[in-house]
Amino acid sequence: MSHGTTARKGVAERLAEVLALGVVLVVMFVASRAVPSTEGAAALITAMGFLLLSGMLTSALLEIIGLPHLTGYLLAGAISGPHVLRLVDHHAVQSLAPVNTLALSLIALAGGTELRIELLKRVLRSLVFSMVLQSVIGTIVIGLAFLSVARLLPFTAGLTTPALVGVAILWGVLAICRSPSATLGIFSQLRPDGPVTRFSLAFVMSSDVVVAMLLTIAVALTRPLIEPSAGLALRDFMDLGHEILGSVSLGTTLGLALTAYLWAIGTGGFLVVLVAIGFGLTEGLHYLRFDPLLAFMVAGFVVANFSQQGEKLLSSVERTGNVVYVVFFATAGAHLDLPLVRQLWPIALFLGGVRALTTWGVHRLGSFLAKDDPIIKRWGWSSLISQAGLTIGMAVLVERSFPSFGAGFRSIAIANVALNELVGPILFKFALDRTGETGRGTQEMAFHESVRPPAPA
Amino acid sequence: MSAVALLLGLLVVAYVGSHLIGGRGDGLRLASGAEYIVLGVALGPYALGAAERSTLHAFQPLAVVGTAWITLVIGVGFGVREGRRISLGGVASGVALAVLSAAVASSLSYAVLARFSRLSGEQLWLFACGVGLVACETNRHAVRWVAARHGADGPLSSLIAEASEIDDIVPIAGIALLFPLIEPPAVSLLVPVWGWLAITPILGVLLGGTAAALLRAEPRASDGWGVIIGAALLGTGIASRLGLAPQAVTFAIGVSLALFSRHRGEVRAMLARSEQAVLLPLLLLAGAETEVKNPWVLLGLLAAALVGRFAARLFAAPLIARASRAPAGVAGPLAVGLLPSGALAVTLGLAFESRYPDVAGDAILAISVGLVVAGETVGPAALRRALSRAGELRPAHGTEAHGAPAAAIAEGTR
Repeated sequence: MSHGTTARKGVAERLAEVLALGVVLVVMFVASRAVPSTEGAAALITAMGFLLLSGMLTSALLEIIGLPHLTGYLLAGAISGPHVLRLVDHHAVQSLAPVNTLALSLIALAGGTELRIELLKRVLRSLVFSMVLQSVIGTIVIGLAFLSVARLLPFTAGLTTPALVGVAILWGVLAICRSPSATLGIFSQLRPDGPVTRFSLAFVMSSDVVVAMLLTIAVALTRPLIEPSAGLALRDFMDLGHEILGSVSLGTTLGLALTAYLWAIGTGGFLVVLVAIGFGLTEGLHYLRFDPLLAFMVAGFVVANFSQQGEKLLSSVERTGNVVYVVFFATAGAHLDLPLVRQLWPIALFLGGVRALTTWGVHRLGSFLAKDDPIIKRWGWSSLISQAGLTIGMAVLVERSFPSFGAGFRSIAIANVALNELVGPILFKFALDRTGETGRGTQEMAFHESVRPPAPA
Repeated sequence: MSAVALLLGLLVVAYVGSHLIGGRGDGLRLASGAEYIVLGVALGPYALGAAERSTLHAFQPLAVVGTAWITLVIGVGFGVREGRRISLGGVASGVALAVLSAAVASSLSYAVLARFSRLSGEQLWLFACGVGLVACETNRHAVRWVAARHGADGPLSSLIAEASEIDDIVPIAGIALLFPLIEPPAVSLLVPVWGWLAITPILGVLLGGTAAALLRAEPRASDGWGVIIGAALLGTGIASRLGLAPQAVTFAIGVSLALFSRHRGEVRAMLARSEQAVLLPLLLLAGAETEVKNPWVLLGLLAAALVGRFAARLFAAPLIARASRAPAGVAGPLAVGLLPSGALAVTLGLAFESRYPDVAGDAILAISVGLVVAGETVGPAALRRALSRAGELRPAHGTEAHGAPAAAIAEGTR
């Protein structure tokens, strides 16, 4: 089921996977028709098991035609979810929220661990040029594109021109948001290494922080445009400062604690520790109004760069995370509002197309100015197309800040994310395969090698 | 206590459990894990009230998954001890003892309930059979623990170890039959009762076979975990959804995995490592969830279960002693020594509690907890005496903690 084993898989293994997927689908179909709707433990457990197995099997089969695993997870969720086969219902999808919490914390921890200071130094020039240009030109061009079709969107009816400009700025900022989870999901499968991998990692992980700051600034600046009675609220900036400083401080403390644990005890029982901090600490951070993603990323960064324990942490997080990611992305697939995509697809396609073209063009410009390697110049943009949960989270933030048009804004954002979520990982995998970076990183141990029975007494 | 605090508490216990299997936790626990049950009772609504009942109910999915995982582990190692198939004598002794215990305990419970309660019909059968099923197993950990701690070796140690390994099939098959018989699943499909009885093993074999086929391709370690966890969760969820016994389905998944997978050794080792980490939080939950609604009837049922269990062992102990050519004086202490019940009894208690979250479930869980505590109080010392009288304790090891009891708990994986 992994990339590393693809070559070894023969017809018999592939047939076994097809049969297994058939068995899982039939069993689930019969069960869901026999007991059409259940709320509670049974629905949650069934959904988790089904999404895990069907996600793994779909991804294994799509691997044959070169599609990334992540696309398989998403498709398995979308097809079995509440909008198509209805094998997994809305309630079950909502109940899987704790898995998302755990997955996001592991993704952030792994992301931080991958960010090495040497790596940042190597790509610093490219990173600065690309980040500044993507943030400025990307926001402006994509915002203008939004403005050009704004009157076709139902939720903009009645908005004044300054208000429309404000909404377009918000859209522009949302459009430059990337997907750390999709990037790490691809890394987890392909184990790449090389210039494009390093650039993508550094850009996508650091853009999370940049976009969070830009969105706060954008919300504060556009409020007077959208709501003429409102003024510029400095309070928002103070809150942002508090959130960032608090998250970094707590993340540093967590990183030091993890380092001490890994040094003193090693990886024994570390799975339980990861689950505990994934759930418990996330709750605590939410309570304190800090950003869990940033805090976990800083924790991973501290462990990787200021101790010898980085590899231990990374391998533990990946081994735990690989199972959690399948459920996370399959749940994301089940969350995809396909009827909404069907309804808004022309506009979503237009906006997504403009975003992709702008990302490509701006990246080329940035690479030219930064005098990047030709390989980064050519393929570095491919990791910047994916969007996922972070973007939706930001759309929800916009909805909360501007309830008058927020729901419609969120809908078009979700439709757009759905397209980017499906297309982005495919493009990125294609790029990594073409550049030959796939498989150059450290490979995970095979199942039978990872567990050795105790020696006989 | 909030749900998050309770979850963190359970994770701390799981963490302790994950360390107990490597040998570092020698001497830190009892074989049955009764101390965690007592801790649960102490933290639960009856004593300190640290965990409220509503909070505990929120953890029902975890209890269902945890109990199903325990039976999955049992299923994967079923029929094998120290890497060898269990002998015919072991199979006969284990199954006969468990069936006899279940029958006697059920009959006595039925009599107590018929005399002292207003229960009738299916409810009466549910109570009586439930008590019988949680009262029939012998704790395999207790036997392994005593044998390893005191360096026991010989035909009697071997036979009772085998019997305690194999007898798990009886209560697990029991709930597979009982749940659909007492309350046939309310579903939109027309299925006769025998059909429901067949669905439990079929579902388990189907999912276990599927998982075994997927493991053939030698996937990455995390994919291997994914396949096993996915199959277990899907089986558990579907069985819960249909009103069947999830624990029986995962047991069948485990047996199928061990039968069909060429990586059965690795799977056994892998799952055995996870057992304590899952079991200890379950025991804590079981203790906290224990609810006594009608104390006198409950005491009567507990007494019936204990008497039934002891009577069956009094009858079987001389036969086991004779089969293993042990001296006649062994039978008495052996009968008491086989009293401990543990992980499986509590697992079944929790299974009843989640399937019948009313008086029946609460009572059966409370009885399983009572049996574990009572068995732990008298069992290990008596078993040691029996093995000593049989001349199977090596004097050099006497009371030394040789052989790492905690590591012995993982013995079945070899």
